[in-house]
Formats: sequence, C-alpha cells, structure tokens
Amino acid sequence: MRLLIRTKLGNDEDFQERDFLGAVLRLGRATDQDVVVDDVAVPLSCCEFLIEDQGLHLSVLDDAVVFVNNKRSKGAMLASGDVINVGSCRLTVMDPVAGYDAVLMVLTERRGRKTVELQDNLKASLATTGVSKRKLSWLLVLGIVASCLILPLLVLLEPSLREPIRTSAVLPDDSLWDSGPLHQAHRMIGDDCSACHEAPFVRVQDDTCLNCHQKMTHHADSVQFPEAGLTEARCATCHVEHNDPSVLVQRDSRGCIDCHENIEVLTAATTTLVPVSDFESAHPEFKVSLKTYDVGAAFWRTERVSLSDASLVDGSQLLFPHDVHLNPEGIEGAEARVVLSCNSCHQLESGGASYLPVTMEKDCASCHQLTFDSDFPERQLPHGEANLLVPILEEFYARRTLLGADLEAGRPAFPAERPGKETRMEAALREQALVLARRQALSTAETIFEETTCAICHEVTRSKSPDGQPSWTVLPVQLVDTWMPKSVFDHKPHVEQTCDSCHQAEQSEVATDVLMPKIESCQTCHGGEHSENKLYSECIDCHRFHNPNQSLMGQGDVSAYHFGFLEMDP
Amino acid sequence: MFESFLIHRSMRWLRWSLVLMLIALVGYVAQDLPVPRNGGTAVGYALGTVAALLMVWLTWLGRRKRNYRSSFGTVKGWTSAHVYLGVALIVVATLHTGFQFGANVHTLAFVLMMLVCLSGIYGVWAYSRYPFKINENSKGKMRAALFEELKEEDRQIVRLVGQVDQEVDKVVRGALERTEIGTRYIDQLLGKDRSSVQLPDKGLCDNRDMKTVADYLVGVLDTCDNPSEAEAVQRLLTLMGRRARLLSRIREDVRLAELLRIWLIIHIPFAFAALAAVAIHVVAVFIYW
Amino acid sequence: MTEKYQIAVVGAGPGGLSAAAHAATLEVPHVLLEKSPAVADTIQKYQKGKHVMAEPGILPLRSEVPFAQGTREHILSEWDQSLADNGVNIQFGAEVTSIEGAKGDFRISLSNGQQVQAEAVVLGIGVQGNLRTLGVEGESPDFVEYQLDDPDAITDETILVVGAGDAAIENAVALAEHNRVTIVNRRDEFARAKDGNIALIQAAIESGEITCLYNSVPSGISPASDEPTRIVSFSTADGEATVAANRVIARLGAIPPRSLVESFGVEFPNKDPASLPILSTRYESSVEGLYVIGALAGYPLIKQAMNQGYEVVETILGREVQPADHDLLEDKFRTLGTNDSVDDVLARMQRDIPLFSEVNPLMFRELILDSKVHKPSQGELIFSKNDYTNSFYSILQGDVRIEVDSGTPIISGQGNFFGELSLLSGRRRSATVRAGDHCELIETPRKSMNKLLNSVAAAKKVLDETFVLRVIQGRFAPELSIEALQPIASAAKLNEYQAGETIFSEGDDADALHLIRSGSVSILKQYEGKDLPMSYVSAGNYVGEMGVLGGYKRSATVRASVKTQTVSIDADNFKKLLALNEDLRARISEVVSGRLKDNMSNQSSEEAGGVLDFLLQQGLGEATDVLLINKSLCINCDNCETACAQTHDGTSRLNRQGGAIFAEVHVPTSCRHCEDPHCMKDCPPDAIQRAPGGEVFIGDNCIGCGNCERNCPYDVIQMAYPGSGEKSFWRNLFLGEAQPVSNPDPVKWVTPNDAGASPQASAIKKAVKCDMCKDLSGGPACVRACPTGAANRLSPEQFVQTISERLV
Repeated sequence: MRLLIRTKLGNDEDFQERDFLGAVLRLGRATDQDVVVDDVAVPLSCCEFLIEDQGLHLSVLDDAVVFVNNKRSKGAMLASGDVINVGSCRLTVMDPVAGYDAVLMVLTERRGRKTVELQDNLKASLATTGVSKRKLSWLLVLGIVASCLILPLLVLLEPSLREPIRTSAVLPDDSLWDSGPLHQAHRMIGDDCSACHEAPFVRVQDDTCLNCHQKMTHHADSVQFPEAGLTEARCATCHVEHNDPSVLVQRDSRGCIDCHENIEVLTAATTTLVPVSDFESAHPEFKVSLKTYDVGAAFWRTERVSLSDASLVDGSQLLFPHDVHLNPEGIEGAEARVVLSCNSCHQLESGGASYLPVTMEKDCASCHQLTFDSDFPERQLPHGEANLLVPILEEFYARRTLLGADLEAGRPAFPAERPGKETRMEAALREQALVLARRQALSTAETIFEETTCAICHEVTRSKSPDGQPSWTVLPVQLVDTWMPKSVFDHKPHVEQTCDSCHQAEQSEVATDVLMPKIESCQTCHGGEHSENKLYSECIDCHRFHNPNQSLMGQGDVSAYHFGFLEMDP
Repeated sequence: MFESFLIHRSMRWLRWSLVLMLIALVGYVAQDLPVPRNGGTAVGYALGTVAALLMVWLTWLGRRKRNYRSSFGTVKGWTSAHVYLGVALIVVATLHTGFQFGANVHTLAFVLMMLVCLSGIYGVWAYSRYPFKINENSKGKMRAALFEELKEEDRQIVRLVGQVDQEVDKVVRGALERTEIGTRYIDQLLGKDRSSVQLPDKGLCDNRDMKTVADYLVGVLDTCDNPSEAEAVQRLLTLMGRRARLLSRIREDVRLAELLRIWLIIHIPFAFAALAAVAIHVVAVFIYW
Repeated sequence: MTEKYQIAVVGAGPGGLSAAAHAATLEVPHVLLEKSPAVADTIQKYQKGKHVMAEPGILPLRSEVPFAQGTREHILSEWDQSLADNGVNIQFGAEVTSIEGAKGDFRISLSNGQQVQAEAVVLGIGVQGNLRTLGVEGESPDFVEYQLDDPDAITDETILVVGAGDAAIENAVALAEHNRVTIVNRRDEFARAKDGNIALIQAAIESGEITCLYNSVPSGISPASDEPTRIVSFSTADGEATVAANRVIARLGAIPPRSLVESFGVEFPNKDPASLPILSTRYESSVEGLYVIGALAGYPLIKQAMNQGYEVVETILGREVQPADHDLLEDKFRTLGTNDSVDDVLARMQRDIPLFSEVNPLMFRELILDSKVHKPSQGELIFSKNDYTNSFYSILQGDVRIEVDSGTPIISGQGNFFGELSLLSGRRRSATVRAGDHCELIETPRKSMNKLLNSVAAAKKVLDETFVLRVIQGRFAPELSIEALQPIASAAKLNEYQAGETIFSEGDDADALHLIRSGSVSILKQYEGKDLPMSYVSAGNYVGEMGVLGGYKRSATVRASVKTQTVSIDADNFKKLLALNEDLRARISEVVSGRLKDNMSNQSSEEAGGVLDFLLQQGLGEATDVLLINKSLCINCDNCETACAQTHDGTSRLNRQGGAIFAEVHVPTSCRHCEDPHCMKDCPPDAIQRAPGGEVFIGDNCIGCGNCERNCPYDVIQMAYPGSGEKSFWRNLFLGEAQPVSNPDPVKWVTPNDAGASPQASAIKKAVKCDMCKDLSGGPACVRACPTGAANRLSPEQFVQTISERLV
C-alpha cells in the first residue's frame, strides 16, 4: 500500500509530507516504528494501519489505549474524517489523494504529554538481583544439610560408599562430625569412628574399650560395693576423648576424694580404711606390708602395719645389721676389706623405678662365702639347703677319709691291690673311716650352723634327732619385696636424692628395723593438690585407680579389703 | 512516650541479658574439671541447651512478628529481648564451645551463629542511625511525596519545553526519560547516578546531576535571540537545578532505606543456616555420644 | 387538561413506588409522578453492580414491591417488574413545580405544563433535591451534562466544567489529562472545596493545564450546528465573553427540596437546613392531606420508606394501621412490665419527660425505636466516669444518683435527663451514674438525639441551658444549688468558633471566662513575633480564668483548633459566682499557677511550640486518640500496615506513606477517633458507633454508601471489598507468596478504586477504618507490631505532655 503521511507539529499551519510504502504502517513509541509517537504513555508498539477490503483498517495491539472518534477502540475500519487519538498524538484520516491508498494527517501535540513515572524505574530491589532471603536461606540450609548431614550419614550407614567419599578430594565426610582430636594413645584407631561408636545414638560401651584393654579391672565391684557409686560410671565417664588438649587420664583427685574423704560413712563403718582428702593434710601414715612367719602353719603371713605403729618390726627373720655393712671404714670382705654403699646390694632395675630383690647369691655371696673347710676354700656349700648340709659334709669327709688324705694317724690310703683290681679297703677300716667322716661332718656342721656361716645371717635352732644325732633348722627368710603394694613409687625421679634422705640405713643395727620412710618424709617435698609451696600431688601420683594387680574392692568378703592385699598372680 | 526498643521498659532485657551472661561466665569459670573446658561437661551441656533454645527463640521473632493478633508482649518488647538476648547468646555459645574449634560442623554452627549475631549488631546500629538520617535527608517527606514533588517538577519542565525549540524539547524530555534512580540494585545501594542524555551532536552522554543537560541549556541560552524563549530556557535551567537536588535527595533516600535493611540478607538466611547447623551439631553429637 | 385521582404520589423512589403499588393493588385511582425517565433516580445513579443493603435487618418489609439486598441492577429490574405487575399508573418526566389546594382537592402543576388533581398527596421526593441546572438558553442534554461517568472516555475535546465544588474540580482535573479544560467559577476563588482539591486545581491552573474563568456565569449557548463545538457565552466581571467548546459539564450541586416543599405550604420546625418537616404520627404534614414519606420524613433507609409508602396509603384510605415498627416497640416496652399499649407508653413518655413534650409524635416514635428502655435495679451502674459512651438518658420514672468526684451524689428524678455533657462535647463521661429506686430510663443514641436537637428548637434550648448550668455547677460550684446558679447560667453565652478562629487575643481586655463545650483550643503566646502554641485545652475545661480573676489583660491568645463551642461567663457574673463560693477562688488560683508553669516550660522551647502547632494543624485538636510515628525510630518495615491488614480482612486502615511530618513526628493517615466524629454525621444505617473505650468503628450493617468516606476531612476511611483474611505463616515461610513480581505489596493502603480483593459476586465495598483493634486484646495491632517503638497511639493530652517533656 502507499500512504501519504502529513506530519504537523503543534498548532502550526504548515506540515511535512512523506510517502509510505509497505504492507503495514506501524505506530508506537519505539524508534523502529513507522510513525513514532514521543509519549511515554504510548506502548513501544501500539497499533497498525493496513489496507483491507479497499479501505484503511486500524488494528490495535494488545491493550494499547487508542481512541477512534473519541471512543476507545480495539480496531476499526476507518473512513475519511475519522480522528484517531493515541496518547499525545492525533491522526486524522484525510480525503484521499490520487495515487495514494489513503492520506493520514499526524499531529503531535506537545501539551498533555505525560511525564515519566520515575517510581517505575525504582523497581529494582534485592529481589531482582536474584538474591532473596528465602532463596539464600534454602540454599544455605540445603547445602549444610547435604554436606554436614547426608554425606556423613552415608559414610556411616552405607559401607559401600564409605571409602569413595572419604577418599574423595572434594566431598566432605564424617570427619565433619569429629569434635576434636583423639588422644595420642588412640591414634591407631584413625578415622574409623565406628571402631568406638558402634551404634548410633548409643554411647560408647565399656565392652568396646575392653576389647583392647582386656585386663583392665574395675576399681571396685559395683554390685558388692554400691556405695562407691560406680554403678553408673562408664569408661568414658572419666576417659573423655575428642578434647583439645587431649587428656585421657584424669589426674584430678576429686573423684577419689569424693568417696574416700567420707569412706567410713559410705561403707557404714565396715571398713578400716581411713578417710583421705589431701596428701598433705589428710592422709594417713603409710602402711607397710610386713611378713611374719607362722611357724606352726609354716606360712608367711602378710600384715599391713602403719609406720607409726610402735610394734613395727620387720619379720623377715634375717640377721642383717645395715650399720655394720655401711660402715664407712669398710667391712671385711672375702678377700679384702670393702666399703659398701646402698647400691652395692640394692640395685635398680632396668626401668629405674624400683630395686631388684636382694638375693644371697647376687648380693651377699661375694663376701659371705659358704666355705666350710679352710683347706678347701674353693668348696662352698649350697645356700638355702640346710637339710642337705650334713649329708653333703658327710659325703665330703667320707670321700676324704676313704681316700685317706685327710685321715688322722697317718694311715695310708687304701692302696690298690693289684692293677686293674678295685682298691678295696678293709671292711673294718672303711667302717672306721666313715665314722670318722661322720664325726668330722657333724663337727663342721655344728660350727657352720651355730657359729660361722649360717649363724651370721640366720637364726638356727638345734635339735636332737631320734637317733641322738644333732640336727639344725634354719628359720626361713623372706625379704619384703613390695613394701607398699597399694601405691606406686618410682625411684627414678628421686634419683637425685641420696638414699639416706629417706631410708635411715646407717643407724639401723638390726634387720627388724623397717627402713621405709614415713609420710612426713614425703611431705617435706610433696603437698596436696592445693598446696601452696610444695609439689602438687594428686592421688594418682602414687595410687592407681585400676590396679590390675589388685582384686576388686568389695569383692568377696567385706573383710577382704581390710586385708586387701592378696598374693598376686605370678 | 516514644520509647525505643533499646530502652524498652528501662532496658529490662539488657538486665536479664547481663544476668544470663554473668551466670554463664561464672558457671564456666567455676567448673572444676580434670579435662579442658568443653561442650560435653555438665556446664557445657547446660550452656549448649540454653544457647540452642535461645537460637530457636530468637528465630521465633520472625513468627511472633507476623502473629499480628498475639497479645503475648509487644513486638517492640520482643525485639528488645531479641537484641539483648542475642548479644547474650554470643557469650553463652562461645563458652559452650570451650574455645575448641576445628574443621567440623560444630564449629560451622558456631561461626554461622556468630555471623548472625554480628550482622544483628550491625542491624541495631543501622536501626538507631539510619531512620534519623532518612528523616534528615527527606526533610519530613515520605518517599511518595518526594516522587510527587519530582513529578510536579517534571510537569513544569514539560510545560516549559513546549514553549521552546523542538530540538531543545527533545533533549530535555530525553533527559527526563533517561533519568535513572538506580535501575540496578547496586546503583541504589551506592546512590549512583547513571542518568544520561541524548545530545544532537554528541550522542548519548552522561548526565550526572543533570549537569550535561544544564550545560547544553546554557549553550542554547548563549545562541538564543528570542527573548521569550531565552526566558523559558532560563527558567528551565533553574528547574533543572531543583530537579537535580530533588533527585539526589531521592537517591539518598533510596540508598539509606536500602542500607537500613541490607543486613537482613545476611541475618535471616544465616539464622536459618545456623539453626540447621546446630540441629546437625546436636544430631552428630548424639549419634557419636 | 387535568386528571383527578384519589392519591397522587410524587417521586418514584422506594417510598413512592411502594405507596403507588399499594394503591394500585387496592385499585385506588392514583398517579405516580416521577421527574426522571426511570424509577428510583438515586439508585439509578449508583455505580454499576453496586450491592444495595436492606437495613435495618430487624424491620419487616411491608409492601407489594419486593426488596431484599442485592445488586442495583437486580433491585431495579424487580421494581420495574413489580410496577408493571401491580399496574401502577406512573408518569415519567413529570416534575412537580407546585402543589396548591387542600385536602380533597389538590392541584399539582408539572413542569411540562400539565396539571394533576388529587384528593391526597404523598411526597416521597427524598433529600437529594434537584441538580442545579445552568438554566441558560440553548441548553441541551447532548451538550450540557450534569455528571461524568468516565473521564478517560473523552479525549481531545474542549470542555467547559462549570462549578467550583469538589465534583467540578475532580472532573476538571481528570478530564485535563486528555482534553483542553476550562473551569468556570462564579466567584473569584475556590472556597467550597476540600483543601486537597483546592491545591490540585490551583496547581493545574497555575501550570496552564486548566484554564479558569473566575467571576463568570454562563449566559447562553449557541444552537447546535454542523460544527462539533458550540459557543458558550458568559457574563464576567469584565463583561460578556465567549468560548467554543465540545461539551459543558455542569457540577453545580443540588437544590435542597426544602424550599420546594415549603412552597407547598409544609412547615418546618426551624431554620436549620438539616431539619425535617413537622409531621404527625401518620406522616401527615402541616398541610392536611399532604403526606411526607421517605428520607424527607427522616427515614433515609429504603426499607423504612417502603413501609411508610404502604402505611400512608392505608392512612389515606382511613384504615387504622399499626406502623411496621409496632411489634418492635412492643418488644422494647416489655422490659417495663406494663400492660399499656405502645401508643399509651409513648404518650406517657412525652408527658412525663418535659424535654420530649414538644417533639412531634412521629419523630418521637422514631427516637424511641432507636432508643433502649432500661429498668435497672437499685444501685446498678448506668455508666462510669471516663467511659467513652455518649448516649443520652432520660428518666421516665424513679431517680438516679450522679456521682461527681467524691462529693455528695446529686439525685436526679423523674422527667430529668443526664448524659448530655458527653453527648454535646464528645468527651468522656464526667460522672458515674447509678440507678436509684424503681428507676426506668430511656437511653437514646447520640445520632438520634442530634437529629432531635436539630429539629426541635425547644428541646435544644432546654438542653443547652441545662448544659450550661451543669457545667457551671460541676466546674465551679458543686455545692451550690441549681436555683442559686440559675441567674448566672442564664447570663452565660453560647459561642461557636470555626477552626482557627481566635477566641481572644493576647493583650485584649479580659472580659469573660470560656468553658469549652465541644472542640478544643490552643493557647498561644507571642514569641519573637510569632504566635506559638503553648498548650492545648480540651472540651470540658475552661480558659480565660487568669484574666477574669484579676481583671487584667489577656496574657495569651486562645484559638479554636477545631470547630469549637464555648460557654462564656462574663467577668461580673463570674465575680458573683466567686462571691457565692468561697473555695472557688483558691481552686482557680491553683489552675492558674499550673497553667503558668505549663506556659513557662513550653515557652522555653520554640521547637515544642512548633511541633504542637504542627499537630494542631493536622487536626489533632479534635482527636481523642491518634497514631503518631517517630521518624527517628521508624525503619520503614511497614509492619504496622501489614498488622492492620492482617487483623482487618486484608485491608490496612492506616497509610504509613501518607500524612505530614514535622521535626520527627509523623502523623500517618489513620483515624484520630475525633471527639465529634465527622464520619458519624451522615450514616444512614447508623453503622458508625463509638465504643465505650472511645473507638469509633463501623459496624457490619454498613451499606457501603460512602458518606463517611466523603465526610472525613482526614481521608482515613476507604471503601474496600472484604479481603481474603490472613495468610498462612508456614506456607509463606517455606515457599513465599505466589504473587507476580509487579505487585510486591499486596496488603497495603489502597486507593478507593481498587480497595480490597477482587470483588466476589455477593460482596460490596464497605467503608473500613481504624477501630483501634477494640476486639483484640492488648490494644492496637499497629502499635503492638512496631518492632522499634516508633508507632504509638496517643491522646492529645499525652502528646502535649510528651512534647513538653521531650523538649524541656
């Protein structure tokens, strides 16, 4: 179609003319429109004009507001003289001119144009940036749930996924749930949470701990001894893992004191245990486990006796004057005079915590040689075989007599009658020689038992056997190996101290002296847990809560823990 | 009669908050433990429970605020309590951690919670500062009124340009149409003026504070020989100046209003995130009891 | 040519239709004269689809014409149908210009020159009156229009808008968007319109969008021609002028029908333009045989008018008919336990209560219908001091004890009344009242009482005098007897001041003391050349006492902050009063020193005065409780509006974006619960009530007429569809709202055109406004929902105190 468009501005009389050739004449605010209406109230594309059925037809796009002859229109056939209003623009259909399909007069009035609605420009808000509080919330919550809940749960519940997730470089795993490092002692467990946490929502079971700590004993039998209040206690009650810094063993004395400061109340006075609440101010004197030999029962009985007990006597039945041995001038040894010190006999064990037991063979024999005949200084008697002593001596002297070398009266030894023929003594001579030997043996035995070798260290009793021969019994000796079995003492930290700062051996004249230091000796350096000027000493520094060498408290007879100390397993 | 939420009822909630913080601190310090202080002790559990309940309750403000019929306290009272107990939460929750941190969900929960608390503290600061500034800036007019004023200004301008040269008309009207008050969010936040104007010989130019169009009008005034038109251009210049001032005031209003609430974009999503993390924290702690 | 009928009914409104239909059913010769081309002109003008209510619900309908609530279209079509079914003889386009003659022979002249004769005439012409017309030569309906339906439907025309009222201004501004508009004002300013509209038109005129012709009166219109425009000529101050225009829209208001009715010989009780003609119980006017029904008889509701139409025909035919409300009244009187008939009880009431003796029986009946009859037991509380009720009580029998402060109670006996103080001032009750022995009381609502006072001058006079007496007694001399005060009271003057009017100025001679009867005043002092408000005094208190005590000059200016009535006692009389009562001087001195202190404190701060001035300018002087927002605490969260919308059917009754700000005080658009609420003035179903707590609220029986919206000077009432209620919190929390991005704030203050949710089939727009959440425990939701404490509702006394405290 071909249209003639006359454009008029304002109320001027003159106008511009232009031709339009095309199928559709488009009108709107956008610059690509054929007729541009400069009015913000007009849509970018507003309406179109086209030739239809020989006439000019108007079609209105969408909801554009277009008036035809002052009536709102959705589209109409136009006739000459019709007036179309679009915003500030007025179009009039003019009488046709030859050569054109139609003529349009376009008048844009400047008044009445709408102003820009700037508020509309302010639509932008946070929401338009694609970020909304709700969206962000969901994102964060879902992200956290996925990474911190779902993935760790998968690791926990689905074994097949465990390793892939754990080894993945990017995926978080159940280490996210780890609240702190494991104690060094437990490092070998690694990141296998289920090693200890066997079932979800169930606390770590004691059995799980005991899988490794098989010999661990309880402190007290919770059934027999409910007063201790240990019924509810689990391993993990005290041994708290996943802390930083990691502390697996509680040094705190509080737990001990809780029970022990009122132990007599707790046990309803069935115990002889003494209340303890502080090492310095409220700790009983040490008790040593002393042994006494019950002759009748031939049994070593152990008894714990307080160091402050007046009747404190060591019952080892050994005769041993420390002062003599420690004489700074020295003491006569086997070959020469020797000066002894404590560690001449008391030797630290390799760990340095305690001393090796003192034994005759190791510590005494170098001086106290069990010789019996000065002519045979190399011959020694066996130690600890008192009942064999006389027969050994008899044998020794019999041989001597029969060989003759030793016999008195210069009698020759039994000569050999002829080569190859057994040397035989006369029967009478042999008889006599044996009697001599026996007499010699008894005489030597009497000296050894009663005067020299044995009697130096042992108490020996002499009795008459039914045949009228004398016999000797050496009282058994048992040295105390562990004086204080209920505590642990480590000599190593004390190695800087001299022995006599604790053990007054130089003044000890007899072996019945107990040289264990009293508590006050410790207390010169060690204070309680709240001490101001001494070493803080917690219960656990000396005592062990779980003592595998010790039976459960409260187990069996109540009096058992009175005696407390039973023989340990070998 | 106008009692701010910060001084609500003689700061009753501040006092409660201080009491809570004091109890938490004393409880924490007074613990006599063989192990390092941590969340798993009795005091730790107590602090953790209090902190978790506090978090749920603090988040519940969002519910209470929308429970318009509720007469369970006033929203102001709740806000006051929210603010002060939120501050107390920082102390309670930090003590609950026992200062043990690591790369785990437990620390994540704590960090998120701290983010929420700290953004909240910024919020309190914003709430006590920006309303005053907004009112100062808008000189006792609501934003709608400012826009109304602007519209009136524009109407006058449009009327005036009807009396001047067609080209000037086009430039000025173009300047009005291309006036921007922060079409993008970031512009609103920075109060940035991205207005532009189409000049006949120079094309699209920056028109910050209506400066370019003003310069253009001065140029027109120079070459103008029609006295009535010159007067109109002169008046246009005055109006443009007024318009620029008004626009900057609107921009400032928009900027301040945005600053007043932008912290909520951290505060609220992270509050939910923190709740989720705390829930997982609790689950994780009890799965591995 | 004249036709003669037994009954001529003028006006085919609801009343007229009903009367004519009844006459037609009874086959009585009748005619129904209607000036417009269709029935029920007023209803025809309602907007399309408007839902029409059938209030009052308790009243039975007694008419051949059906009526139930429904859409305008449905009701009109039913009426048209009924008109045809009953064979009503109706003449359209028959405007009555005069009625002459007497009973049995009325001659009715019509504007088309015809005359109708009738034995009896029923007037049902309503109160809308006739639209004022241009009344110039060449006026034709296609060129001169008297209303404008859709301003957007007209473009690119030259239009003359004639008139200077709100309607003219609104039309002119709307039309100017697409047209060239000239507004024609017969005066030299726009004084009759609302402030907002005046500002609007002045801006438009100044900007040149609208041309204005002042002091111009249209004098002629050229005949229609081929030209689309016609020439309208004017007489202006400078002589004749002409304008070519496409159309003329004349918005000249309506002529009240009173003058027309008076020209028929019907008498009115007084000059008050609101008063209604004097009628008998059977609606007969002072002209025998001429009956008045419907709104003009004081019954603005459709159902009442229709019942009257029925009754009046019965009456004309000489039949005894009990009015439709008979049963209701009988019910009401059952409390009294009497066997007397309704009419007897009514008569006894009028006889025993002097105040009602001169009231016309019809009006009295209506009054009692609105009233409640109480028979309280002895000692029962009628109302307590500081209640916000304002109904009026008259004592039919027995007595009541009025306890003012702690003094001896005043005993008031049969025939007396009480409660007038609150009725007139809109203030809280000033005393507690308890029932005495064998007490029977009539409680009349404020609205009915005001109607009565406007119509019956005698009653108004009695009430005014009693008011003055009691105020003087209550305020100054509780110990003195009424008799002793009588001379002083009768010398007191009743004054009325418009808002902003000065009662007396600083430096004037102190000649009188003013007791504020209603409204409130501000006290201003000169401060650096400006009048700054120092204090605010509400109704029930007095001002000017400083002057009269010593006879000095006025120490401050007193200005009415709203429309105010005062009772003034001149200095001489006041001295008499002082002489009668020795304690009075001491008490007044106390008030004086208190106020001096007040003045001192406010004087120290110009800002305080400024804020007070601002608040009073915002009309807070007549408020009882107003929402203020402290801008330095407000964080724009809109929780106040949301809370309001959520607790009130989805439509907020406050507009936080609206209203003015001064310093940091923002008065948002929200109801102030005025002492004398403007909205209550013209509510046909009496739906707007004041609750005992002072809350002015709109009841469910609102018919959606929009009168209150128009009457409110503070634009706090909107018309809205009932909303969809509250949103689900959890849904919103997890999913957000399913709403288009373009509409981010769905529940905010709405403009009247789009208020509320989408209209449902049966829904109508009803008026909504703040009810101070009277049904919610804990107080207004907006205040309770404010997270920062920025929003607060205060009484004027509180905010005056706040301002003084804050700034001193």
